[in-house]
Amino acid sequence: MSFLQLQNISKIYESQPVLESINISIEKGEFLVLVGPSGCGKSTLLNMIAGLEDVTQGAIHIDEKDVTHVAPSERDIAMVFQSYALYPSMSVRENITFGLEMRGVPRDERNQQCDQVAEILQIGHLLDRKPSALSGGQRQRVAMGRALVRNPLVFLFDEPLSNLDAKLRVDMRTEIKLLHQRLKTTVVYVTHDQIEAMTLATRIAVMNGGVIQQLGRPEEIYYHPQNLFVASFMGSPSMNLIEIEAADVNGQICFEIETSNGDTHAVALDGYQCTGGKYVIGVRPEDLTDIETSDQRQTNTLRFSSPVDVVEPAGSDTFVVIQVCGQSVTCRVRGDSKIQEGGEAEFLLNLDRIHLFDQHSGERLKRVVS
Amino acid sequence: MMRASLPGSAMRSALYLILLVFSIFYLVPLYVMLVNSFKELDEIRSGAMLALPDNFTLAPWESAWSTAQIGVSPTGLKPYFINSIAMVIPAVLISTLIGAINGYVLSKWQFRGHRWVFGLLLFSCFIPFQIVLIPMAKTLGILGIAGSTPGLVLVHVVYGIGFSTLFFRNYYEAFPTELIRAAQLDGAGFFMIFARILLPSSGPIIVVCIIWQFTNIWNDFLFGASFTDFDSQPITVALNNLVSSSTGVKEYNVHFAGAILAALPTLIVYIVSGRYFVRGLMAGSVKG
Repeated sequence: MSFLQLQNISKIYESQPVLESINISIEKGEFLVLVGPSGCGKSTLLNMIAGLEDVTQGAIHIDEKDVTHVAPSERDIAMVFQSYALYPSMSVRENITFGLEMRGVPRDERNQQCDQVAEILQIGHLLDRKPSALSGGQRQRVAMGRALVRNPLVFLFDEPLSNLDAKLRVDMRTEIKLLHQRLKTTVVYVTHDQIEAMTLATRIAVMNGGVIQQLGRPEEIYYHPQNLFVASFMGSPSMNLIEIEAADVNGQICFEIETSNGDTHAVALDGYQCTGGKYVIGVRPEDLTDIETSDQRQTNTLRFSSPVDVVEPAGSDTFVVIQVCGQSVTCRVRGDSKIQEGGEAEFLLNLDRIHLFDQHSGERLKRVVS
Repeated sequence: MMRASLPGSAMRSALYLILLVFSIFYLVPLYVMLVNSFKELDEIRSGAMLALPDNFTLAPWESAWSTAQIGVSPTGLKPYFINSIAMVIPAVLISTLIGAINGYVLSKWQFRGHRWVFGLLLFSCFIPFQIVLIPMAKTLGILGIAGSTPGLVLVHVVYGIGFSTLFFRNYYEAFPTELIRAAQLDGAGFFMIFARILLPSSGPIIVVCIIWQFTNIWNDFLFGASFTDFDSQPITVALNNLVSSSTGVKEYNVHFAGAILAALPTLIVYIVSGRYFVRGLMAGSVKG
C-alpha cells in the first residue's frame, strides 16, 4: 500500500457534490501538488486529508493506517495555512512550540527543537517577537516552522505563497523545494499557480469541477495532457488550441491550416486511429517558432509564413501573435528577435509535438505508433 | 494658505461652541448635586442652588455613607453599597464568561440550528423586565434563593447572557477560523483553544461587555426591589428608601451625597476604561 492513499473520496456539501471519486496514491517522500482553478475542490480535499472536513465517502490512509475518521491532531500531519494562521497573542517561539506543548513535550526539549527549526529557517532573531511585528515573508517562515517542528508524517500546504509579492514568492518557492530535498517528508501542496505546481511537484493532480483531470509527473502533465482542460491550464502562455476539420487518408490524419494571408498548408499526422471529423489541435508556443529560434534537430516540421499581428517582448522570450484558422495563436521566439508587428515572418511548426484532442469529449487522442 | 484654512477653522470653532454648550447642559445637574452635597441644609434652603458652599462641610457625605436612616435602621448606604458590590461582581463575571463561551460556540463550532439558538438569545435582549417578574419570582422560590444575593445574581446573569452573547459572537465572527483549525491540528481541544487562542485576543470586547453589564446591573432598580430582602438590597433600592422616606425633614444635601455615592462606581468604570469601550465596539465592525 502507498504511503498516502485517497480511495474513492467524495464530498457532498449541502446536497451539492464538491468532490467526486478522488483516487490518489503517493509514495513516501513525494511532493504532490493539487492544482486547479478556484472552486475546483483542491482546498476541500486538503482539509479532508487534514481531518478538518468530513469525508462523505471513501477512505484516507496515511502510512498504512486508516485515518478517515481520526481527529486532525491524531493524524500526525502539520499544515501551513494560506493566511499563515499565527496565534496573534503568542510570540514566535510560543507559536512554534504550541503544538509540542499540547502534546506534553517538556519545556527544555520544546525550546531545543524550536531553536533547531529556527536555524533551518533563519528566524532565530525573531523568536521573541509577536506575529504582528513580522513581515509577510517572516510570517510565512514562522508558519513553516510551526509545521516543521512537529516532524510529521505529512506536510500539508494550503496556497502558502499566494499572499507574498512576486519576487518573494519565487524565493520561497525555491526554499520550499530545498527544504523538501533536505527533509524528504511527504508533502501535499495546494496551489492555483501552475508554475508552482510544475517547479515543486514530483506528482501533480490537476483538478477541475471536483474531479481529477489528470494525475502524473510534471513532464507527463506538460507533454501529454489528457484532455483540453489540462492542456489549457498548464503552461504559460497557455497552449494554442485550434479547431480543425480532419479526414482519415490512408491511415494518416490529414487537415489544413490557414494563415491570415490566405495560404493553406496541408498537415498529415501518423499513427492516430481516427475516423475524421472535428478535432482540436494543441500547440505549445515553444513548438511554434521562427527559423532562428527553432531547434535544428527537429526534422518533422511545417514551415510557413504569416503576417504578424502583435509582438510582445518578455525579455528572455518574445511572444508573437499570428492568425491560424481564424484564431489568435501565440508563438515563442528569441528575446532579441527582429520580427516586426505588421510585417510577415516565417514560422516552423514542430509536428512531433502536436497534441490532438477530440472536440466533443475534449479527450486526448492516443497515438498508436510513435 | 490662510484663506484655505479659514472656513475650516470657522467650522471648527462652531463645532467646539456647540460641544461646549452641550457639555454644560449635561454637567449642570452634576454640578448642582456636587456643590449642594457640601452645604449645610440651611444654606440650601436659602436658595442659590448654583452658588458654591459658604460653609464647606463633609457631614452630609458621612451621614449618607454611615448614619442616615434607610427604611427602619440608621445604617447609611454602606451596607447596601457592599450588597451591590457582592452582587455585581459575580453577576458581571459569570454573564461575561458565559457570553464568551456562547459566542465562541455560535461562531466557531456551529451546529445544526445555531442560528435559531442565537436568534432566541438575541430575542431575550428585547424582553421588558416587567414581563418576567412573576415567573422569575416563582423560579427563585423553587430554587430556594428568593430574597438573597445569589438569587439576584442569577437573575442578572440570565438577563445579561443575551447581550454578552451578542457582543462575543459578533467579535468572534470576525476572528479567522484558520486559527482555530491550526490549533486543532496542533492538538488543542475545545477549551484549550478558547483559553489560549481566543481569550487572549478578546481584550477589547471583554472590556465592552464588562462595562455594559456592570452599568446595567449596578443601576438596576426593578429586580433589586423585587427579588431582595432588607439585608440583601442593592444600593439603588437603598437610595430610593433614603430619598423617599416620609418622616422628618428632607435632607437634600444628604440625598445628593447619597446619589453621587451610588453613581460613583459606574462613573469610575467609564473614566478608567471608556476609551477601550469605543475601541472595542469598533473592533468587531471594522475589518483590518
